[in-house]
Amino acid sequence: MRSKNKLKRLKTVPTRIASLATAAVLFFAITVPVFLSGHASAASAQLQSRSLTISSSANGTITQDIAGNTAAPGSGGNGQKTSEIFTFNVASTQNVGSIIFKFCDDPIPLDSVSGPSDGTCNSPAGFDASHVASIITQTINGTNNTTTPFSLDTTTVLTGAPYGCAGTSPGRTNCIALSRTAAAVTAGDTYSFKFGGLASDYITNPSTDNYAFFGRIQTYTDNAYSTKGDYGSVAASTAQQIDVTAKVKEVLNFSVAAGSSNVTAPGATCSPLTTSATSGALTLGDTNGVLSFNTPYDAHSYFRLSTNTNGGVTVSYSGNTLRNGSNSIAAINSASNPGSAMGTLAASGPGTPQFGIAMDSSDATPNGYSLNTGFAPTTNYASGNGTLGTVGSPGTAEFAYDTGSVTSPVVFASSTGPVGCSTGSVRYIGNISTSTPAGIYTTTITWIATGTY
Amino acid sequence: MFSKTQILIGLLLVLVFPIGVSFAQYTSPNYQVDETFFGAGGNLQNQSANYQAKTAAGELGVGNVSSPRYQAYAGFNTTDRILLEVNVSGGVFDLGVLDTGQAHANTASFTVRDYLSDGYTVQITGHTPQNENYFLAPMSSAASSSPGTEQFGINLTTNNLSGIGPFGATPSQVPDNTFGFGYVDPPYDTSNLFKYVDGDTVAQSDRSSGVTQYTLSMMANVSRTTPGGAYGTSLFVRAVPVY
Repeated sequence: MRSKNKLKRLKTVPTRIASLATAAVLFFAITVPVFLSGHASAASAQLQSRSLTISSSANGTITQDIAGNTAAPGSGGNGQKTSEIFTFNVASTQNVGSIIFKFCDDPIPLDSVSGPSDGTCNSPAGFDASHVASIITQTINGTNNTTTPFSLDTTTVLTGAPYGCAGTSPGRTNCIALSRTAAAVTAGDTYSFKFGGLASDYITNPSTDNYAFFGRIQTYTDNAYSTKGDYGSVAASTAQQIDVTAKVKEVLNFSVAAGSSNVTAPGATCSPLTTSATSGALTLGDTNGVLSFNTPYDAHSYFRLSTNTNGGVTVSYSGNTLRNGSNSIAAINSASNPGSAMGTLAASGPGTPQFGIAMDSSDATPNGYSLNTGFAPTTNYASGNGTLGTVGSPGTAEFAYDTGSVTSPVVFASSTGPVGCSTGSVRYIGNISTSTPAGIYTTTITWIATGTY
Repeated sequence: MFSKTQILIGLLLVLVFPIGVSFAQYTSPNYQVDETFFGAGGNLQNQSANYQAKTAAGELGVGNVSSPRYQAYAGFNTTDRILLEVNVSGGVFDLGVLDTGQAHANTASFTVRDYLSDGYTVQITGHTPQNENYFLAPMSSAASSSPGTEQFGINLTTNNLSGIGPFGATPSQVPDNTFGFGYVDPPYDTSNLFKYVDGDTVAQSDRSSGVTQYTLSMMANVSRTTPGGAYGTSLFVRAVPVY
C-alpha cells in the first residue's frame, strides 16, 4: 500500500511541475515583451491634440518677396528664419525631465516602443534647427511655465543611436533638446513650446516648395533622455509662394478756371474745373472792368488739384503785373513798402497802385476753397481773406506779387505728400492812384503744378 | 509528461501572447487598434529588396467614419502614417495697373490633403502689396470692393465685380465630398466680400480629409493718393493639422 501511495505521490510530482511550468510560461509571455522592448511605463501614450505651427511656409531659401522687399525674421514671407510652435496635450500623468523634438521627412516610427526618436530619420533637405538659441516661450495651459521650466540643451550629444540626430556633435541640425529636473506633468495639460523667429535665433525650413516634413516628439521621464514617456509626431509643409504684382501710375490732375461759375463740384472722382470760352478770363474792376482810385476791386480764380506724389507737390504762378504798354500797375509791395523785396506781403490800400494775389480761405463760393490737410499756401500768400480797406485805411487782407515769376515761377502753395482733392481760391487785388495812366491793362498768369515722385 | 490539457493551454498561450512586441499605430485615450486586418484578402506590406506594395483583394467597406469622439478608417488600404500634403499652384499673379475707376483681381489655387488627423486649419500669410515703404491698405474687416478707396483683400469663393466679371470659386472636393471635407471659414466664404489679415485662418477641415481644392481670390483698389510705382508681395499658404 505504502509503495502504491509513494508511486502515486511520485506520479503527482511531475503534474505539479508541469502546472508550475505552464504558469511560468503564462507569466513570462505577458511580462517579457514589456521588459525586453525597453517600453516606457505602461502609462506612456501618444501625446494628444498635437500640432506644429510654423511662422512661414516659404521654403528655406526665401527671405524676400517678389518685389525684393526683405521679409522680417519670423514673418510670413521668411522661410530662412522661421519660428515654430509645438503644442500638445500630455497623455500620461508622469514625470518629464527631457524632451527631444526631431525633424524628419517621415513621421514613423511614432509608436512608443521604438519611439519617434529612434529609427531611420532623414533630416528634411535644407532644414536646419542648429540656430535655435533659446526657448522663446513655453506655456502650460496657456500660462508661462515659470515653475518648472525647461532649458534648451545644446550640449548633450544626441548623434548616433538611439537618437540619430543629424549634424556635427552634439547633433542639433534636426533636433531640439530640452531638459529640466524631472517634474510631474498631468494628463490633459496643454504644453506649448516656441522656438526661433529672430534674426539670430531661428529655424530654417526645408528648401523645397510644397514639401511636407515631420516633427517627432519624444518625452523622457528623466532628464537624461533615457526612459521614454509620451510621444507623437506632427506635420508641417512648405508651400510654393503666390507672388502678387500690381502697378499704380503716377497721377497729377490739375485744372484752373476763372470765376465762380466754373467751379463745379469735385464729386467722388475730384472732377476738374470746367472750361469754357470765358473760363480763363478774369476782370478786375467795376461791372465795366474799370478800376478806381478810391475803391478797391478784387476777383477770384480757382485751381483744383489731386495727385499721388509721395514727395509732395507745388502750385506756382508765372506772369507779370497788369500792364498797358510801358505802363504797369506795380506789384503790391512796391508802393506800399518801397525797397522791400519783390513778393513781400502788403495790405490792400485804395489810392495806391497795387496788384497782388493771395489764397482766400474765406471764399464762400460753393465747391470753392477746400484744401486737404498738408496742402497750404506759402506764407506771403496765406492772408487773402479780410477787408480791402479804404482810401487812407489799409484793409486786413494782405497780398503779394513777384514779377520775377515771369522767368522763375514762384511757389504759391505746396504739400509734402499726396493731395486727395484740393480746390484753391486765388484772390486778385487791383488798386490805382489818381496818376495811374488810363488804358487797358492786362496780364496773363500761368499756373503750374509740379509733383515730386 | 504533460497532459493534453497542459499542452493545449501552452499552445494557446503562444498564439495569444506571442513573445515580442505589438505596435499600436493609432490610438485615442479610449480606443486603439492595430494596423492589422481582421480577415483575408490583403497584406499590409509585400516587399523584397526591390519591391514593395500593399495589396488588397477587395474591400467591402472603405473610407473614413467619425463622430465627435470616434474616428476610423476602413478598408485594407489604410495607412499608419500621418500625412499632410499641401500643393500650391504658385507663380506670379498680376493685378494689372490699378486705378481709381474699378477694382482689379486675380486668383490662385491650392489643395490640401491631411490624413490621420483631427483636422487642419489653413492660413494665408504675407504682407499686402508693397512699393518701397508703402503697403496697400489691408481690409481688416470684411467689406465690399470700393473703387477709389485703397484696399487689398482676399476670399475663397465666387465673386462678380463690376468691370471684372465673375472670378473665384468655392472649394471642390476631389473626387467628391465623400473623400474631402475642407471648407472655407467666414467671412472668406461670402461672395464679393473681402478681407485681409496676415495669418488669419481662412479654411479648415474638422477631420482627416482627402483632397480639397481651394481658389484664392485677391482683389485690390487704389485711391487718388495711393503712391505710384510697382507693387509686389509674396503670399504663402500655411496648413496646420492637429493629430
